[in-house]
Amino acid sequence: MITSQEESFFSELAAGHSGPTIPESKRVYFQTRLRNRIFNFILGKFVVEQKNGLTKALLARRIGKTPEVINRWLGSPSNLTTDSISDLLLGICAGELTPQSESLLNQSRRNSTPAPWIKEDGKWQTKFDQGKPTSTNDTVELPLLKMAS
Amino acid sequence: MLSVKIKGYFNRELYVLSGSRILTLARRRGLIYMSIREEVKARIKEGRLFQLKPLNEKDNKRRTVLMSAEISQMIFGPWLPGPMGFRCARLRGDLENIITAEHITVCWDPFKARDEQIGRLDRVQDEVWDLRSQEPKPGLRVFFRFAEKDVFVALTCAPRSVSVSWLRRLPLLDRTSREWRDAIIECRREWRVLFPTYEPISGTSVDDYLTGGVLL
Repeated sequence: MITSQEESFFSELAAGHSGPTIPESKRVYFQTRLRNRIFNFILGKFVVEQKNGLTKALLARRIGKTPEVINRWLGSPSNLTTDSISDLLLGICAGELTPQSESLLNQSRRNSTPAPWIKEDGKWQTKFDQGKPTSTNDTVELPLLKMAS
Repeated sequence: MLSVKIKGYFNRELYVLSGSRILTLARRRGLIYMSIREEVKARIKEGRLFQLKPLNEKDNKRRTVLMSAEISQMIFGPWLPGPMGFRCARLRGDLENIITAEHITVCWDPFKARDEQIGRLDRVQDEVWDLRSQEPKPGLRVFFRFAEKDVFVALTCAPRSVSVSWLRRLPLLDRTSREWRDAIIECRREWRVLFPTYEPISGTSVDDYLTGGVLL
């Protein structure tokens, strides 16, 4: 279900090609999202290749950059140029980006909050196990209230 | 007399005597482990704590970000044209990224930060962390604590190096500055106002605090 806040936020987008100017602050918000998405994508590739022996130093050498640059690029999202993105993916996984996009309009929920115990109606439920010790110095495992993964 | 070893959260162990009052309380589980959640829900209901939800419903949600009134006013908008609006829009994107990103880079040791997204601050026993929202200038730091694993409570915000007219705090500047110390104290105080009887979680590894934390 789309909330009124979301409808309002996407109103300029939903207005079509002849609609009003998209406010710069909203464009900035989506620019930030894209930076974060690209960074997350690259970082995810790096994390995978770390298990195959890749290090920041090796990556820096492979793509002709200093370690400081690699630290900065992999440390946090930034306004990477497309050339830098290309270099990183080549060096990390011998890959290249295959762009695709998806509409921001007519959204449907993908999954619920990771903390289902926060419910707008104020009600929540937990599960209990009545673990009991079976012998001296036995360990009693207190079941945790698990959040959705 | 039977001695029971309780293996609780974070693998901390506590030996208690069977039949003791502490064990009775522990066996009620919810009384101990659910209470911070009751407090969170109560603060949300009171309008003193706010849950951030990504504006794009399609985003995968891996973690939870809760915000104080101060942070929520920056995040929820509407964003006015100009530097404040642009900066707050960026900050919202960065906070939403905490919710959705598969990996988050972490500076585990205070004063060792380079470009990581979040970091523990000195003194680590204070359990105060900061989120680095670095671009564009002015860089901002959002101070937060963990209510549970993957549950961030963002409490205060301060500019990193230059004054910002729409933030009431002075720039943090050098890591040994009074402003840094005051920012951490204020974060702890804001937590105490919201949760008078509960401490943030404490752990010995990144995985105790969040899923997908990356130490580069």
